This record gives sequence, C-alpha cells and structure tokens, in this order.
Amino acid sequence: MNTSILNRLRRCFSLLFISALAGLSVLPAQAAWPERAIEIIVAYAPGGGSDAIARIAARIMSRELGVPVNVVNMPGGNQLPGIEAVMRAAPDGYTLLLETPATSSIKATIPDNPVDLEARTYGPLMAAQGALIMVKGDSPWNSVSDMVDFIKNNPGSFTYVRLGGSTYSDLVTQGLFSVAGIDPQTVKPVDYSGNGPGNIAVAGGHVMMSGGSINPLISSGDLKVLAIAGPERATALPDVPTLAESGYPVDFVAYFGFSGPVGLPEEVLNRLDEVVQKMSGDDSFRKEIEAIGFYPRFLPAKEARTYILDEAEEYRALAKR
Amino acid sequence: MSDEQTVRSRLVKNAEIGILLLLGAVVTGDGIRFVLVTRHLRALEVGGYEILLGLLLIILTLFYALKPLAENWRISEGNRNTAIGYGLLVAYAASLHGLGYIISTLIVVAAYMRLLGGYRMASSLAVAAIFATASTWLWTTLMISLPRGYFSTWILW
Amino acid sequence: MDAFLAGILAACSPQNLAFAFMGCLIGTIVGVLPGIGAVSAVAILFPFTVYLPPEGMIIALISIYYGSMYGGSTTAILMKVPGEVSSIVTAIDGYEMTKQGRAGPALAIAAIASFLAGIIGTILVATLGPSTARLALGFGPAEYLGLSIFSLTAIAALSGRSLLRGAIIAVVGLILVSVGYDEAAGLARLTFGTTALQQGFNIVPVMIGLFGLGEMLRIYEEETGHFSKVRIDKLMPSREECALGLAAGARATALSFPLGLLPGMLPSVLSFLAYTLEKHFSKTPEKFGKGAVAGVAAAEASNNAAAMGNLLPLMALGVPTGPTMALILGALTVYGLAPGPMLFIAQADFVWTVIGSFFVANVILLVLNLPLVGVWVRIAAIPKAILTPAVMVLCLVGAFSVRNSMFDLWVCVVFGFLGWLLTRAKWPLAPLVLAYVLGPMLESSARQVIELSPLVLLERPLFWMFIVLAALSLWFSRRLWRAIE
Repeated sequence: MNTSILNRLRRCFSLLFISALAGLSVLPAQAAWPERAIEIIVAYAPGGGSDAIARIAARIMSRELGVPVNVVNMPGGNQLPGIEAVMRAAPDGYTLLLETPATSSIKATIPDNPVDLEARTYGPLMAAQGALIMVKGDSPWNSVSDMVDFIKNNPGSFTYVRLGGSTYSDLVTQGLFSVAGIDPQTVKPVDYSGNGPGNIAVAGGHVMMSGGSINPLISSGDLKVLAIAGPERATALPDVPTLAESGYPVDFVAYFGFSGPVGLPEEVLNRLDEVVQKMSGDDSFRKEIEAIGFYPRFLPAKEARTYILDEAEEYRALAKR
Repeated sequence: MSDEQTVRSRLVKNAEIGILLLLGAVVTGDGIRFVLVTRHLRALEVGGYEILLGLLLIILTLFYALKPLAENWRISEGNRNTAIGYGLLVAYAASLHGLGYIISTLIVVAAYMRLLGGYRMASSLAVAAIFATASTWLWTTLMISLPRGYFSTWILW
Repeated sequence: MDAFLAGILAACSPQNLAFAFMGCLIGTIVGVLPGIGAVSAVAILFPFTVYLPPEGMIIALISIYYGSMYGGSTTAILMKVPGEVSSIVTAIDGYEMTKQGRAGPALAIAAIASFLAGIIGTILVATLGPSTARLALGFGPAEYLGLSIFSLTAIAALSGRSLLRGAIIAVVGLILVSVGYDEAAGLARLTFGTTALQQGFNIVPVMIGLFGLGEMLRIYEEETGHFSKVRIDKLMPSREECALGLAAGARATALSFPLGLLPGMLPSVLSFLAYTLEKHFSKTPEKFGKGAVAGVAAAEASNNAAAMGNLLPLMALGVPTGPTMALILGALTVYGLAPGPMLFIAQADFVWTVIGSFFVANVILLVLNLPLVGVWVRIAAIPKAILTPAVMVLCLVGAFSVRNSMFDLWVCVVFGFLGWLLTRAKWPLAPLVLAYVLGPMLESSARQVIELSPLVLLERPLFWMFIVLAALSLWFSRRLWRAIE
C-alpha cells in the first residue's frame, strides 16, 4: 500500500518536473509540435453535443500528444466570436477550432457571409452525427407528423430553439419546415447560445422544440426524441425513426473535425492526421461517441478541405432556391 | 470645502458629465445606425438594446448633473510617483512585444526599485534578475505562453 | 446518511488524502497568480490527473478547484489583485483589513467561512439529493430576466455612496460588455470598423486592470513603504471576530446555495449579492468597506456555497452550470460515468465518494491554509518598491495569457489607469464588474422573452417577485445611506 502511494506521488511530481524541464530545454527552432498546451475553441455553450465530443477528443488527443489539450467555450454571436478568435490567432497549431458545419459550410448560406471559407487551414475530420428532433418529455406529440399537424392548425404559437440561424440544428429544423410545407413566418424561433441551454429550456417547457444530440435529459424522460436527421438511426436510440422514415426526408449530416488559421504548418497537419486517424479507429472512442449519438468518420486534412468547400457550395445553391 | 477644492471638484464633475454624455451619444448613434442602415433581419433588436442603454445613460447623467456638488476629488501628494509608476507600466507593456518577457521584466523591476524605492542599482538588478528568471520558470512549468520578442533565437522569452 | 458517511470514509483512504493534499497545495499556488481563476487552474492541471485512479482523479480535481479559489482570495486580500471575479468581493473588506495590519485574521476568516459553507453545502447536497435539481428546469427566460434585473439593481443601489452613481457605472458596464459581436445574430457593435474590438473586452484583463493595477497606482499616493502595517498585531481572529464571521457566513450560505442550483448563476454574481445583503441587514453598515470581518466571510462563504449548489444540476441532470462544472463532467465521463438521474442509482457508491471528497477537500484546505497564513502575511510586508513591480508583471502576464493577445494586455493597462481615476473620483467599481457578468444574461433573456411573446411575463409570478425585490432594494438603499450619514 505504502509503496504504491509513494510511486503514484513520485509519478505526479515527476510529471510536473518533466514538463518543467521540457519547457526550459527545448529550443523553438527545432521543437516538434506540440511542445505546450493546445486550445480547442468550441463556438457553443457547454453541455451540447459539439462540446461533448470536443472534450472526449481533447482527452484522447492529450494522451497521444503528451501535452494538455484544453477545451475553451466561446458561445453565442452566431459562432462568429469563436471562429474569429481562432482565425486571428498565430498559425502555430496551439489554437484550433472545433470544425462543425456551423463554423464553415452553413455560413455560406448567409446573404453577406462574414466568414471567408477559403481563408482557413482545414484539419482532419473525426466524426459525424445526425441531429435529433426533441420535445418535452410529457408532450402529447409522439411523432413528427403530430407536431407538424399542431403547427399547421395553430399558426403563430409554435416556438423552437434557434442557435443564431446558421448552425446544423437550424439547418435541420429549416429543412423540416420546408419539407413539411410550413410557412416559416408562422413559427417563432427563440435564440439560445447552444443546444445545452436550449435543451434545458425545452425540458422545462419554456420552448416547444429543439435540435441537438443525445443527452442525459432524454434518459430521465424530460425530453422525448421524435426523429433523427440523416440516413441512419442512432445505435444508442434504435427505436427512434429517421426523419425520412417519418415521411420528412431531411438528410443533412453534421461533420466534426479541426481547423486553424491560414498557414498552419504541414508538420502540424500531418501529426493531427496521424492522431485523429488513430483515435477514430479506436474502439473506446467509438463507444463513447456512440453514447451521445455520433459515429467515427475519419477524413484526412486534404480531403476534408474539398469535402467542406463542396458542401458549402451545395448549401449555397440550396439557399438560393 | 476650500475654494481650491470647490473649483477642482466642479472641474472634475464637468469632465465626468461630458464624457458620459459623449459615451451615451456614441452608443445611441451606433444603435440608430443598426436600425436605419444595416440590412439584417435582426438589426432592430441588436440596435434597439444599444439605443436603450445609450438613452438610459444620458438620462441618468442629466440627473447627476442636477445633483448638488459633492467633494469628489481628493488632493493628495505622491502624484509624481503615480505618474512614474504608470509611465513604467506603459513602457513595460510596449517593450514586451519586442524585447520579450525576460528582458522587459528585468528592466522594469530594476527601474521601479531604483526610481521609486531608491535602492542601489546593483541590488535592484540582482533582485530583478532573480524575479525574472524564477517567474519565467514558473510560467513555462505551467505551460503558459509568454511574449517572446525579437531575440527569441538566443533568449527564449 | 449512511451512504454519505461511507462516502467520506472511502475518500479518506491514505492515498486519496495524499491526492487531496497535493491538489489543494498545487491549486493554491496556481490560484495565487492573477487571471488564473479556478476554471483555468483546473483546466491547466486536468491533464496531469488523467493518470490517477477514478476516485483519486475526482478528489484531486476538486481539491485543485478549492485550492485555486482560496489562492485567488489570498491575493485579493493581500494586494487587492483578484484571482477571479468572485474574489473582487473578498477584496473590498479583506484588503482594507490588510492595510490595517489585520491580514492574518482576514485570511483566517476567509478560510474558516469557506470551510463552513463548503461543509454545509456538502451536507445539503447529500441530504437534498437529486430531486431538488429539477427545480432548475422551472427557470425560463422570464425568470432569468427578473433575476438579472434584481441583481443589477440591488448591487447598483447598495454598493456605493450614491444610488445614481451606482446606476450610471452599471450602465457603463453594460455598454462595455456589449462591445463586439452580439449574443445571437453575430452583428458587430461599437467596433467602429476595427477588427480588434470585434472580440470585445474580455472580463479578465478588465478586472485585473480596474482592481489590481488601479490599486498598484493608488498605493503611491501614500507615504508608507509597505502594503500593510509592518508590525503585525496577531495572526488569528479573536473570538468576537470569529462569531461575527461565522454568522455572516451562515447567512450567505443560506442565500447562495439555493440560487446556485440555477444554471447560469455563477458564484461571482452570488458573492456580490450576499455581500450586499449582508451590509444591508447589518447593525453596523458603516463598517463595510472599511475592514468588516463579516464582509470577507459573506463573500467567501457565498462563493463556496454557490459552487456546491452548482454541483447538483450537474450530477442530477447532466447539465454543466458553468465552465468548471463542464470540466468535472469531463472527468466523470473518463470512467464511462454518464451524469444524469441514473447516476445516483447506478453508480451510487461513486457519487457518494465524490460528495465525500468535497467534504474531505474542505477539511484539508482548512488544515493546509491556516498554518500558511503566517507565510502569506509576510508577503504583504515586503517593501512596496519591490512588491509593486512584481505584482504588475503578474497582472500583465495574467491578462496576456487569457487569449495570448497583446490587445488584452493593453486593455489591462488602460483599465488600470481608469480604475485609479474612478477610485480617486469616488466612483464605485463593483456595479461595473457585475454588469459585465450579468449583461449577456440580461440581454439574451430579454430577447428570448420578446421572441416568445412579452405576454409570457404576465404568466410568470417569479418574474414579478424579482421586480418587487428590485424595487425594495431601491427603497432600502435610501434608508441605508441615511442611516450611515
């Protein structure tokens, strides 16, 4: 017993010590990335799906890279503060953005898009997810068509959570409204800074519907899931139909990955590719993200760029129609 | 209040009122810009909040202007030292970018001790050197990044 | 209750005690650095704890959290440099006590009050259990709007010599925090076309500048060569001071724990509120701001009680109530534990160990810090010509490190000058900082109410209760100031 404490303590101290030595002795010219803490900026409030996957990935990557990987939330402002913070940082690989459709491709749908999607170094993608359509646990609606009927019969009284207007969840709700033939003027958006706070508002009965990913409020019965967007059902929610199965084909899927400012060194991208590929092949990673409704999907940095920019083009064409 | 005190307090209060009214006007103006100029679906709520704040500030300031004058500026000695202190602080902030953490810190701590504490140059430099290196070690141990400066090829921070 | 005791016992294994001790010590040292609040401290040290066994990791994290909170209060008391927003309140009276040579009692009372609040909070968490956390779901946009109006009014009305000045400075704070992208639509306000201002003024450099640097400049107006009186009378508080402090701490706990159950009610807001109410109902309100033991105790106790309150929604709903709780949530999921209503049933042993760890961490913090009081007090006795530049360097590095930005560094320098100027012209600073914290909540809840339909307000009695409380605090402020003058 005693020796084991001593060993652990020694390991604690030696960790601190080694990092101290590393900080002092490595010359910047020859240093291999990473040599100090990395920050991943998440453009949403804590508690949502993006925040959750960022924290899971940060933990695994921190083990692989041997330096702390910290998640920093910069919520609100239609994700612009978070995006800007990364794009204006030094391109040294120590400030990365959690890349989601809301931080890139969907921004192409805004009329005078404030974000230049070309001016960014895209890193690898690691996972994908379809958004859930959620209502209050004791709601009388048991399917999407129940909800759509209510909206059509009671114009002006349906409220839903909006995250600024150009996030993946927003895209899915807008898609649902348009497929179902609902006039957007007859539904009322309520702005929240992330699906975390938004889900609480729905569970409390303050707002009627929100998007988002699998969260504890579902297992406690405070939230009811009506459907999931995308081509497949979620492993963790086998009984929840897809939107297409419910009769409202909305196939958008969200991707999750990393990006940084223009001019991120090749060396950083290669190392990121390596780490993310290893992580997305890892069984424990898959299990953890499946529990929140995601699935692993690796795409190396080079292909990710083409993928995201193509999708942006697609969304832009869609918005024009 | 003495005469000098009254004059000074009046001056300070007028300056305060001027600055606050200006701030209120700028904020209201920026809000009006949103409502009238910016073509965005939600410009009204974004600008409306600003107009609300700006007008509130102007109204409160007008009430403040009507209140009788109170003693609001202490006259005290030692302003020279405060000026030196602030000057050094600004110089330190300005030098961090170019000289990097360790050199700037060494210079500013030594200068403080010499100018404001009256210590001898040698002891000032010695204390400053110890502080600069020890603090650098601490920051790097905690993996906090510091401004590195132009000499980072030879001296890391 | 048996489960709770078992949890404490589990947390008391020699190994876990060692982790708690290390955590408190490292946390305190890191927390002493300005700008590194509890959140950053936990984030910085989090990766080191990944190598520990589950209980050990949780205990170490909780201890780091407590340690850094106490570390932040230490510099607030000794040098008026707040480690995080909530320690500004501690600084109001704590620093006055230091100037009077009573740094020892101030530090000791701070430790004892937060210990008391932590222990009461832990017992409340253990006895109330997860069911209470569901109350948080009842809080919608209307309630948050009422709550922010009340908090702002109460503090503007009661923190300075004049209601009008408090209100003006609070509005200035609301304006400053609105600079940059707005909360929902992403439109840039008050940036005048510059890109630097789009990110807005971060609260850390603003706060460090206003309080820390402002005080460093002010100190040169005085003739003394030291921060505190050189001759230190005594290290420990008297029996009378203890009684005053404990009573104030208990009242602050009673206020802050229930409000801490609401997501979004950060400990910093509640410390301001608890301090204000304590001053308000005190028999000797004139002592507040001039070194009142009760002020230090109320601020510290409230901070800690609110943190405990924040823990319940995390465990019961899986909803992090703030950045620190999001980190602890991350720690729980490392071991495949999904916080939420099932956690208390499926992983009961582990939950009780965590709650027990909070208890143990509180005890360790007290045991560790009371003997350290003497060491800290000696720091305040270093000649100011050496201490001031050192503190200024720490302040600027703290401001820089938040976003690694030179802009923040200059914001800190400018606000330092502003802080000195405002204090000289006798403007209260507390409403400004509080407006900074509450501004986003005020604006976004107001917009949500308008989006839902303003008629919602008619159906929400809690909103009107907060409005009545706000009106009452305005009325009380007149009486309070008349009583003092």
